[in-house]
Amino acid sequence: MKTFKVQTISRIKRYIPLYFMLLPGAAYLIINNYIPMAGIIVAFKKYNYQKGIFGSEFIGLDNFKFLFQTQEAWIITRNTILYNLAFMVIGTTFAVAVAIILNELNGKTMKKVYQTSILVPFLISIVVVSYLVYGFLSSNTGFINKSILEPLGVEGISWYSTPRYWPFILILVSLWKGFGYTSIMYYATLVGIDHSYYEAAMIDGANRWKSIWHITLPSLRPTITILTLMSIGKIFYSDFGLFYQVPMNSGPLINVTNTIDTYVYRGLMEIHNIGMSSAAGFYQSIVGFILILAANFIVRKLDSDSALF
Amino acid sequence: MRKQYKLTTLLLAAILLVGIFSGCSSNAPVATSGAPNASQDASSSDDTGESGVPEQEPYTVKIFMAGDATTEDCNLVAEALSEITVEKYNTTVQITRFGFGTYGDQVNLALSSGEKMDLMPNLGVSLLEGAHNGQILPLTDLLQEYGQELLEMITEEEWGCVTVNEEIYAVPNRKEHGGGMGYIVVKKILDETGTDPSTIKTQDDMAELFRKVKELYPNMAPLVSDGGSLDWFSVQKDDLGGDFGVLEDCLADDYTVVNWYATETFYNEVVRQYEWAQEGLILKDGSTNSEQGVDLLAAGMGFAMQTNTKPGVDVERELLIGREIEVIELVEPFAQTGSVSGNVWFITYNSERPGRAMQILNEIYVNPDASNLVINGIEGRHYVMVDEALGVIGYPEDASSSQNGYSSLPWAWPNELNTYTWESSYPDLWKDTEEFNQNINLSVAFGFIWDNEKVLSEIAACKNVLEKYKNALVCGELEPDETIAKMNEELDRAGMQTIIEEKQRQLDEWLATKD
Repeated sequence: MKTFKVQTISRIKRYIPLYFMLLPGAAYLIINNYIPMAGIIVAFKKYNYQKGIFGSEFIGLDNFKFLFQTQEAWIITRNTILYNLAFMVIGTTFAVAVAIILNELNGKTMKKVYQTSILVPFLISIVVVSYLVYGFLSSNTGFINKSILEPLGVEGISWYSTPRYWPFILILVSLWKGFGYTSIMYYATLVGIDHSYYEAAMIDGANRWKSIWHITLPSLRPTITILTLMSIGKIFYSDFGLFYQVPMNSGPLINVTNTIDTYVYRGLMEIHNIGMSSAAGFYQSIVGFILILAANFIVRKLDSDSALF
Repeated sequence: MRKQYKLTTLLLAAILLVGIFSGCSSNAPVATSGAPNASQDASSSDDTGESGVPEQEPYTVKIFMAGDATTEDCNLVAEALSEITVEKYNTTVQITRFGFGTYGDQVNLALSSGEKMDLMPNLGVSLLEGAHNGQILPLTDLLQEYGQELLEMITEEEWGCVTVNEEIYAVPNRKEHGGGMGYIVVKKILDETGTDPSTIKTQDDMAELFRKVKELYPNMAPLVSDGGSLDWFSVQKDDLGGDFGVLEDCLADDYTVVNWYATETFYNEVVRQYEWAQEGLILKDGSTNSEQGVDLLAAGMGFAMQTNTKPGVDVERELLIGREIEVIELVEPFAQTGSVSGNVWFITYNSERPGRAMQILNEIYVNPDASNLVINGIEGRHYVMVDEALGVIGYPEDASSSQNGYSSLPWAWPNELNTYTWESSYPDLWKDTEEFNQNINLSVAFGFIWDNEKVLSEIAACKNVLEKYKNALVCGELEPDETIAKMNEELDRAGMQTIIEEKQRQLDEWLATKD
């Protein structure tokens, strides 16, 4: 029996190369993500270029006031949360459905073609997408007004001045843009499911729906949980391009399309206050941090395999 | 075999590590040394404030400017300028220029990282912001020591427009200080309607003209919005530094600050725009239009756009539109603080020798040779003399405006009025501008500077409310009565009254010191 010391040394010798391989990535993470965390203090300071981050005056929670003081501020929080919840629920359901369908397809080439084409919207810049949407929704020349409503004899709708359609439009655009990416991730999990399960199910007399319900979905549960947990962490963030560019920054739509990011942009564009904008970022991340810890805690209690940590 | 494999892995990992660390360059920030130096320099005389100037140590002043220009051309211009400055001040000059799209980001990056720079225009940092967060240096003492000519050539009131907390923070550019309001119209269509522009005096006359144009061109909207806004009003209001709260009639002896959006005048303006939109005289969906007015007119998709008026505005826009145009002025020009503080030059906090920077700034302002160099470039390479006597220049034969390696932005440099004029404008432009400045009516609040520090949250909230309604209102897309009422209700909830009270308080304080 080797002594404890000899065992440890040989264990270290075995793992040293691995630790060395870890070093570059870890160094990057520490330098780029952990060390700058000290700068979070800017959110509580009145930033002065000559005094630097640590020398500037400490003003407590003053920078956060503009996020809570007015009615506007609560509308943006409501908008951000509701949109993100909608994206999570609808986005996940749709992506899972598409992944399952992809999995059920037979032709190998067609699978590849579909995979590539559903990924294309993800790669298009949101600014380009906003003009694509404009092509559909423009009042005079848009596709919907001119080629669908007009032949039907219905008067064209002024899309960019009517707020009530926009939650649906934005969810649709976000779905169209993002489903390719997330469904590929679910598809990757599905490909790894052991075929013997399906064969056993078929022998037992299960039809397609039953095998999806009892085999496919439970196998996807860990992946869905992890991805959902990660998006909970981002619940106070929003895609700026989606909420500012796609509605073409149209005034009447602002009540339904204003999120924390666009509110900060619109409010501080001319003021350029570093403390205030950091305060907004801090607010978003601290809420996400607390929520992710809480959600992970709950998940760990229910199903410890699926928890993130 | 296993040992070899382990060795290779170890080697690879080591190479990766070395790769990272060699990638980290050592760029020690100058920020920490900048601040103490600045205060030291302003009062100390290591630069010998007297006329022992050639005995100064050599130093390079770096100018961080905007506008398209190649590095090579900037270096050539800087070299030529250095010849003048080395002789006088033993100082060389370096010029860096970034295109407008990236200038703001680049200059803020340079300021945050403490990179070496001395002079910059206010195109990426605003006067108030820069003064409060320490990005720019106070210039009062520096001007006394090194900028005597600047103090002489710029009036007391104009210095007032760039004074924050009793310190001067910027040097105002010598250009037109004020403007009126009017319309630019395409001359060809104007002639077709048979209207004589000098008969148009009011907005109603313009409406008549628009109707005639609509008859001739039923598919074209006569008045187009400029990037979504139709923000020029036919009044002479002083914005008192922006951020809400204005003097409705700045030439009258009334110092009451009001919410512009709650005034009768604003209401009438919007009602008029609404009626015009109903008649089809304004571009449909004008508020979501992202094109510039000049582009729409150039493409033949409009007849008129709003504009400020000043000497030379017609030739300036004609260049951009590419068609013959006529300017119809409806509001007589006037000057407010913003007209002066709109284009200024700063000395940045990370300048190691602010005294030198001030000397160079003074030189560029006062010396026509220096001014011409930085604005127009090098004779023969960037321009050629067309008329020596009148001081008119043009592009060299083999070049055009798009190929010029050093774009000419007269309004952005300290002094455009002592330089040559381009043949695309007209020879007396600068003379007219000087006269324009002499005779212009000053707002009663000229020289008042607004400090928005205490009401930043309210401003952020009010701006969000304004974004919802303003553009759509002035483009005539929303029903005025209920929309304006709703907008003002929300503005009040967002803290409009707090802003107005603060502004009134500051204005009253300033008035007290004036008398």
